[in-house]
Amino acid sequence: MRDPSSTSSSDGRRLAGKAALLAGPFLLAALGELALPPDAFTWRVVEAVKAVRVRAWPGMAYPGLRLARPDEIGELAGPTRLARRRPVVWVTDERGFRHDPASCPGRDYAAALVGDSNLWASVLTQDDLPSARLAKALGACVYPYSPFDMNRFLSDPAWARTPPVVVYVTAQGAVGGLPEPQRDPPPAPPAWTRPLPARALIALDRVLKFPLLRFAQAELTRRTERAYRRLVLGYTGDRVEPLGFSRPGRDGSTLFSAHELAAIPPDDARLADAARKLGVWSRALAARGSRFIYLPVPAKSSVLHRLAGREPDLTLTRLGPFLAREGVEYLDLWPEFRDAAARGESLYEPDDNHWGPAGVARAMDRLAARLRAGRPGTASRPRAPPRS
Amino acid sequence: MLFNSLHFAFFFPVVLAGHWSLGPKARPWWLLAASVYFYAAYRPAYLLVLGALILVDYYAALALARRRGTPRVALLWVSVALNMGALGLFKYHDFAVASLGLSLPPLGWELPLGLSFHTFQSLGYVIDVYRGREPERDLRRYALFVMFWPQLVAGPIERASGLLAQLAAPPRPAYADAVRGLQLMAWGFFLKLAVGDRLAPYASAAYADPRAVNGAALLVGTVFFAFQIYADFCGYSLIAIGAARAMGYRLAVNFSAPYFAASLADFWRRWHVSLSSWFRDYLYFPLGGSRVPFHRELLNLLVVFALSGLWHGASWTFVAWGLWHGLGLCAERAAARAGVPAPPRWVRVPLTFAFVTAGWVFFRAASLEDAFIVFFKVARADLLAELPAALRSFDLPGAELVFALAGVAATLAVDLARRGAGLRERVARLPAPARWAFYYAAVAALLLLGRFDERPFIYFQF
Repeated sequence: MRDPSSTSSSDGRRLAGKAALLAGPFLLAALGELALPPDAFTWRVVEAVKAVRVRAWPGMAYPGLRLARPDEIGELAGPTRLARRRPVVWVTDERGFRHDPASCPGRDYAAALVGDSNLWASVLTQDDLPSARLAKALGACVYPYSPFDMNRFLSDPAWARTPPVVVYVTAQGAVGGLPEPQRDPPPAPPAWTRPLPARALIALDRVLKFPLLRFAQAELTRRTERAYRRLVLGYTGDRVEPLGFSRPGRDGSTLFSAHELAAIPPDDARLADAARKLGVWSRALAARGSRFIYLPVPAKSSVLHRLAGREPDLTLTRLGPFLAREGVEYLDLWPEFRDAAARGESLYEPDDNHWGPAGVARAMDRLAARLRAGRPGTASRPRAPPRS
Repeated sequence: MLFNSLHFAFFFPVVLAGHWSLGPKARPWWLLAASVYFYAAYRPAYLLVLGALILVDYYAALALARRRGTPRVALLWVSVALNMGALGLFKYHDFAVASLGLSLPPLGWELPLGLSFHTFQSLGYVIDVYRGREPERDLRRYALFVMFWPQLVAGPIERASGLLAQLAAPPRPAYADAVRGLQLMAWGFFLKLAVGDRLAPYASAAYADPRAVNGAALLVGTVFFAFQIYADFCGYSLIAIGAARAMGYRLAVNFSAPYFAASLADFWRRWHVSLSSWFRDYLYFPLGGSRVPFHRELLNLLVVFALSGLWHGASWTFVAWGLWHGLGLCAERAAARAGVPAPPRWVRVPLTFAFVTAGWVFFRAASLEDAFIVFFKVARADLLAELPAALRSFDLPGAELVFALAGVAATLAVDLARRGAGLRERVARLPAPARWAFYYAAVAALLLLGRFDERPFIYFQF
């Protein structure tokens, strides 16, 4: 006799069938993404190429990628009238870094730039990247190891032989919060670069990002916002006003990060601590025979302080003596950026908090000049990069 | 594990498929394993606390059934003391130390997930056995009663006569139950993700520092919090009830359109019903309920609601929230006793909502001082003049406000629809293409309007 609490198999089949019918179109829409180019549903290339959940390669982006398309928005503008469209080219190498391997066939790097999103530079086209600019100025290969910190770089077995020069680039705002140097190297980054599994993992990551859903959500928000502005506030522009985390400058079109405007400059104790950490990395690299330079990117709100309506932040000037005591080589761009901005140079993109092409070019020319001149106080030239 | 996590999106289909595929003998083991995994996904160490309390109450109930007279009272008090001791140690120790100025070091222990809920469920069972109910002799079944994963961390607080009886004679999972369960879960997810989580930033912004925003912002933040907590907790309850129903089990109804209540007494018959009925049956009635002199009846109400407030959190703000409701109910009873005529329903419903919403100020504020600042600023505000500045102060896009208001309207519309045939019955009567179009639109609306940032449910903190 049948147990009254046992499940009817026809009920089970019926339930499974109806669940498949309900979920099917949504699953197909998610899988349909795979038939489309990776940037089919986005305004920003960086969203399309950044690995989110599956990161089986060392870099942050999908490996072996080449994309050329208009990129609509900087991080501060969102879908607003202040967003600017510009053509960008994105190339990534087989390790998932934003680096064109064709630009350095011998893989013979004279320098590595290690650091944050100022190097990753999502709104810049490939030729305007700091690494590309420095390579051009030096006439040598430069590798962009970003967006990662020094701990990650030093633990990467692919860089067991460090290049002759390592430049650590961070935003000025990060000076007071640099990560603690790790005595024991952190786990090595994944190095799964075989093409077939990498392609399968990219496909999985793309599905898990739900790009169509995110794009539809963003479009719905954008259109609702526009209708709200028009109906409630009487604003008739074709785009919408700045996002919550950005603030317009005095000219009404240059945006600043609300977080940066609210930040309090680090005190002397924090600067001394930052110098101590940088000193540890500098000595670690010296032990490997590499030269270490710290290059903080001056804050947009400090360089354009009049537009931002605030006093300049002198953190980078105050940092110099602390670094000198630790023997850390330092490139302070603040005076040069301040003077260039006063002459009207556009060092930053109006809709982004990172430096723009002009800022990158000025900084990398200055860095190249420093490298060509040798260490301050010495007459030595940078060593020729080792041949592999 | 959070219901609104990717983890749960994998957990639930696996557990449901297993439950439907396995035979009746294997199913309880499967559910128990799923419940252990569900709880351990948060912090495995707290399984020890949960397991210890299960063993204490299981053996206390068996011992109660074997004895007569004074030892039974002693056994009951041992069980009460151990359950309340665990709750006191994890939840109230630091509050008592700070409030009473005791010279004890604060413990700083994190509250085990759902401790307030499962201790009350266990305690209710032991009291039922003390009152004459047959104890559960199967330890696995009793453990599953306490640990049943859909309601383990935030209720509904089940009674032995409800869930335990079903576990003793497991229902056969049926297609109609599964469909109903999935419908309840879908609405629960919509409430949580598209309504509660959309409203949350407004309340958070207003209450982060009540001194820094104007009275209109505090009023908007408070009204939005009223709907946030409803959508959040009712959403959680519906997901729990729906998940259980999809497996064939029926859990207690926890909410019934509470913001359409026409009095405070009516509100408490509709809001967190499993907790308010627990307090009624295991505290209010034993204190004498309403079968005592009138002044005692009022005192009983105040005691029950103050303790109910304290159950929600170890803070004077929660006690004040409980007393606010207790005093409101006392006033209602006194008015009824004095024969004060009740205004029409269309007046009583908004009045009740206003009173309940004012009570949420205590519930949401970080301190009593903050709560009084909110009352003071709202009372002095020129609301219409301050509203534009208030909306700017939230620093959120206008689209967020539109979505939040749409979510509130949808919540109220569905609650209102319950009074007739109900939305589900109306949809069920549609021809198949229209019905399926509705289902697809509902899923699309959930996906498009939901916030998928895994914001925890408010009641998980209790």
